[in-house]
Amino acid sequence: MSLIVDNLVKRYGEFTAVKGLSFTIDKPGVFALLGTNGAGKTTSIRSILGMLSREGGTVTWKGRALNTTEERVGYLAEERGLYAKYTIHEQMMYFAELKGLKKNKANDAINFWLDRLGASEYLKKRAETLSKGNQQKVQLAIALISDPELLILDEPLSGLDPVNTDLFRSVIRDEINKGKYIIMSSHQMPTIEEFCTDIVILHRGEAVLQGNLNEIKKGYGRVKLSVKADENILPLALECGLEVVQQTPNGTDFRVGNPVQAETFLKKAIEGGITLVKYELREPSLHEIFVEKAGGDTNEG
Amino acid sequence: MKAKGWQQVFKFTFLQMIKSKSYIISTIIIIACILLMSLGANFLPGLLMGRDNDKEPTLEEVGVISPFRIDTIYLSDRSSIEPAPYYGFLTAYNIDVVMISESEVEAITEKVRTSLEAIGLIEVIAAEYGYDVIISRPEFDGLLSTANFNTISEMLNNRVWRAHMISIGVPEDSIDDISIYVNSQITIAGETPRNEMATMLANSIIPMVSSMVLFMFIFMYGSLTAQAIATEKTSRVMETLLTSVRPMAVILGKVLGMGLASFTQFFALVVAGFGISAIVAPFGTLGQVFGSVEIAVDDVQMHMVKTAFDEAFSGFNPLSLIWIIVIFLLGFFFYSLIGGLFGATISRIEDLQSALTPMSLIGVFGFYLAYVSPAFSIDSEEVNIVQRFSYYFPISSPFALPGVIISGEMNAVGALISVGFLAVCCVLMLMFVSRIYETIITHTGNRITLKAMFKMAKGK
Repeated sequence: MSLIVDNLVKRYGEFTAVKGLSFTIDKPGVFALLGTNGAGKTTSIRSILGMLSREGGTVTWKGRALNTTEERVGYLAEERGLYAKYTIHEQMMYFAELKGLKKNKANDAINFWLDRLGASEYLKKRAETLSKGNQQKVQLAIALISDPELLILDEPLSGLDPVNTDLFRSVIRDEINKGKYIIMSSHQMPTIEEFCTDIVILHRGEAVLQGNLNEIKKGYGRVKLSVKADENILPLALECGLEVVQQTPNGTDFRVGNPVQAETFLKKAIEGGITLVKYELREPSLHEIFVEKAGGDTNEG
Repeated sequence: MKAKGWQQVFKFTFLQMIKSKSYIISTIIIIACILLMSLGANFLPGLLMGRDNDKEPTLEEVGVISPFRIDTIYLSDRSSIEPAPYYGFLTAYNIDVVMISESEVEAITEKVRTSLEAIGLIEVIAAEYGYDVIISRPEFDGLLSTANFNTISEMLNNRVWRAHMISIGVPEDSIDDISIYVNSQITIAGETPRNEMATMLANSIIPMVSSMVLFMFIFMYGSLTAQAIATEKTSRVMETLLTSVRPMAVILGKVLGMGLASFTQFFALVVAGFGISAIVAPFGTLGQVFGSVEIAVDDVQMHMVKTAFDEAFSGFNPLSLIWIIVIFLLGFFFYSLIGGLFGATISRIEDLQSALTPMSLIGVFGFYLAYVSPAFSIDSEEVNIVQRFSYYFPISSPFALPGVIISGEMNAVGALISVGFLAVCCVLMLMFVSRIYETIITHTGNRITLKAMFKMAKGK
């Protein structure tokens, strides 16, 4: 079972929103679709789901063209939407029936997910009376109601408080453990690093980096040095050829050209009697990789 | 056209619609309006003005208080009609009748004029041409006004006439037989004659009223369909929907669901209309009990009205009802598809009104064509050319056709041709919508113009 997106192209008139996006998810887990605002993430997701017509490319799920009306696919859209005037039960039942669930099973699923997400008390309430966070819970429940094999989460954690963020993360973890195929788009890099094995970074509709996250990081090598000391270390760092990335109260981050520079800096610092509070030579974080690849000239929209 | 899942959309749309407060309240208001109109036109006059019956009511039926609020009538009978009395009905209404001679009339006239009591004077006088019935009431109108004597006047006229017939030897049983009305009609050679009132009803009143009612239902619910789709799109529910059903299933289910809700309300109106008429109207149960119309018009006029209505509704039968249902549904489908299409072109709900402008122009043009054209034929037996055009033009035919089918002005062949045009238009509209709907429903940003829609359809 795998999802293969091959050479996906989406145009709006003269503007190409997605330029030949290709990736494969061949094992359960979370695949991250990253990019700045307007990079083409949501357009890619809508094209994959067949909501938008494609100017090129194919999307194959379990060996045949993906048809969301035939398959168990769950989708949590970036822009949330519920029927404001209808009760939570009415609309959840509607979406469950659209997914082909019988009334009894639909009721069981509704009760299970609202209970799991701590929203059972809202069952008979109209959506407009719920807070944004609780509406988001209902939307996640709707995405999960048919026990989907393929789950697409577009910014699932945006706007949630820390407690509900943890709740959503635990639900996502459960789904991973159940062997679900998940595509997740998020701007919260720690969350992506927590869940995702493979990523693609989009920039202006084009994939600028993709692959296994660990391998990508390894490919960069340990090129980031974080140092905190009681004394001023900048003259020494510059003497050793280190490039300052940023200075914060927690220390200074450097870009390291090669490991020898870092070793030389450490040796000279100890010899010079500098009291080092922190010295960390590491691979770049996903955040740093993302900024490097997509942060050059962002295109809001 | 892929539309799997439209049944669920249809069911949800219909159930949510009929459960909505606005639907329930509007249905109740419409039925209440019909009831009030029927009461106002037929039932209330009967209550306010008393009743007239061939059978004299008993005192028990009437009660101790006179329905005319008159305590005493002084009667000067100079009619010379034998056998009298023709005024027995007054005592049956618990009115004291005091017979006076001609010499007492002057004094009693003055007494009545200055009286502050509920009394009156009636003089029945033989004249060369028949009889004069003069009724005098007090100057002070705090207790009694002219209206209190109107019904007595009409009842008395009828009874004096009957008494005269009997007095000249006409058998009582034959009086009703000689009370006939001669109705003359002018018609085009070969055509079934129809009286003037029936012609006016059939050619003008029924088409105008029915076009108004149909426009209200078809256009209003078409706009509601547009609003529902626009709301789903702008509230982003559409994105969740589209992972389960194709866009065409959404619009098809939505249009049909709204259509059934609209038809249910329309049908409720028709049933309520007939039901209420059967009970309240002058021909109905309560109308007869209270004799509501008989007091205002004589039997001949009543007969004419009944005949005119019978003739004007001569086309109404089970088959024509089926035609009307088909036309209603096709008309609704046509306008709802247009509404759904324009509703899907917007990304912000505040743009809905401007997006629906083309639909409004089309609908209002069709309505005026159906509504105004019959007015030109109000005094004519001929159907004018604009009126005839409105029967076949798909934009106006949903509003125009049912009225002329009811009145029998449109035969089955004509109706079939008109419905055929409308059905073809619906199919063309469906094809157009299916070509571009999947593109526009997920479009965000500025509203899609009509020109852009045609360009899209051409491109596909």
